[in-house]
Amino acid sequence: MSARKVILIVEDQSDIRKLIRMTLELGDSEIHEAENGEAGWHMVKALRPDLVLLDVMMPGSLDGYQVCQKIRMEPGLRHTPVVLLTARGQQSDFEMGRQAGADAYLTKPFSPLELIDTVDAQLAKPAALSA
Amino acid sequence: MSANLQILVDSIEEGLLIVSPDGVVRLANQAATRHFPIILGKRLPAEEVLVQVAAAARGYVRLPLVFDIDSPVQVGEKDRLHLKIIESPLGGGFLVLVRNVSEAARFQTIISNFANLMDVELSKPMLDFSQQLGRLLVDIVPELEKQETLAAEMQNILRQGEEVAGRMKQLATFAQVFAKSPVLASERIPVMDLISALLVRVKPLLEERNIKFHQAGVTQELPIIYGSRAWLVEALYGYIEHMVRHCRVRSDLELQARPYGNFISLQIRNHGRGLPKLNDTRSFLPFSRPTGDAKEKAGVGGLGLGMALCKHIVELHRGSLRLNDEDGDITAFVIELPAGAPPEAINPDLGTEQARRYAEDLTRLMQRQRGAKASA
Repeated sequence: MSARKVILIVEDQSDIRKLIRMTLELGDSEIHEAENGEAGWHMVKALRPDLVLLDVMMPGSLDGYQVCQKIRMEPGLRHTPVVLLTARGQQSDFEMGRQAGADAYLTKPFSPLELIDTVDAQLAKPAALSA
Repeated sequence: MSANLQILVDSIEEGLLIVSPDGVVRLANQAATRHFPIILGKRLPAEEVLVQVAAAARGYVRLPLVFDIDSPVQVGEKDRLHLKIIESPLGGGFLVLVRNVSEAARFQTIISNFANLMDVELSKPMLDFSQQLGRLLVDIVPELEKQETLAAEMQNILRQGEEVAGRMKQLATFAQVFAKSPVLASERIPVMDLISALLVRVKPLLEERNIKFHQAGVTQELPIIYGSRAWLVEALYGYIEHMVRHCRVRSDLELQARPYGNFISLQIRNHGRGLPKLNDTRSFLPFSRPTGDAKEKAGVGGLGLGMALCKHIVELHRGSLRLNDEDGDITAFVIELPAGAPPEAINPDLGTEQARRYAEDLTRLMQRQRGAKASA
């Protein structure tokens, strides 16, 4: 039997965090939450999650792109799948996300099916297993 | 009530009332009597306020209670009054604070109207005029070359036209910033990019006065700013332009960036003869002009808009500005801008849209879950 997957949600809007938690708890995942980039980065290092759902625009000294870049530069974390969440969805944003090292992108408002499918696809990737 | 207490409360600019739990007025200052026809010892003649006081007395509402009402003493279009009810610090009953919020809104409207007037009625015609003059000059250059005096006069007219057009352009910028609130963009701006764009703008200025520019702390590690890149460059350029104007020729100008809590601090320091009375808050108001020694120190004229514009742009980005007068000839502007995305960048309708999207897909999600359980 496979171990429960640990998923970290880094999102400043509590309603969106709850919605994501509610959706992902339909599966068999262990969900953790952080409300800003700094807290998210500390939790990534402490938890070493199997996947990070990361909001792009957050108040404070680290936004989503910066947290993603830090994850990619940290030995032992650099293969952790990162899914960026954004309300903008412009081509330049996708490009910036790709440069920061994100694996996937969800544009708000997103469908719960889209969320589950994206998370499942990322967790099934071999790179995630070797993180 | 003692006479001194009455003097004290009358000196308060906001309306102030103390009412008993059944709405009888025990104390009122002069400002309050302008808002309500008050008789001490009688119930306050404002039913909306009495309802709230009664609710507060019964514990139905939590204090401080804040609400707005229309002025009960005006006819026609009524001013809006902003009220706050708290427990009275002087014995029983409640303290009611009253502020007219329509007056401040009217002042903003006047400024906005004026700015629009400048933009539409004056700025564009003046810029058109100046451009027309330039074209005219090009057309008649061959003729002018034969008549040196006429050529010089035409050049003077053109220069004066350009000067007025420049002033008008500044007024148009003022109109854009104050009347049209341009800082709606939520661009993601790395500080390094902002400073690079700024340096391109200030390079000719620095070269003109042979001023050496130094920067420190401008690294990729700095937090990101969200806002309007163009307007922030405009504001920073305004400060640097002001500093350069007051620097000694062949002196130094320094820009230092550093994270400061959830803010980014940008300090610009010059080594000059000091800035003219910019620590006076009035200097940051639109159309302010230096007087006395400060005027002499400033040395140049202007519309008195530059610093006001820069400050307003920084404040639209939820930032702040201060001037540090250091020892000797050194003066420093310190601009603090919040790190990360502003709360207003979040689309207020997004929650509704997200809920609708979930509602649409919920049935399919449930069907899928049931299918997964059945196959398991």
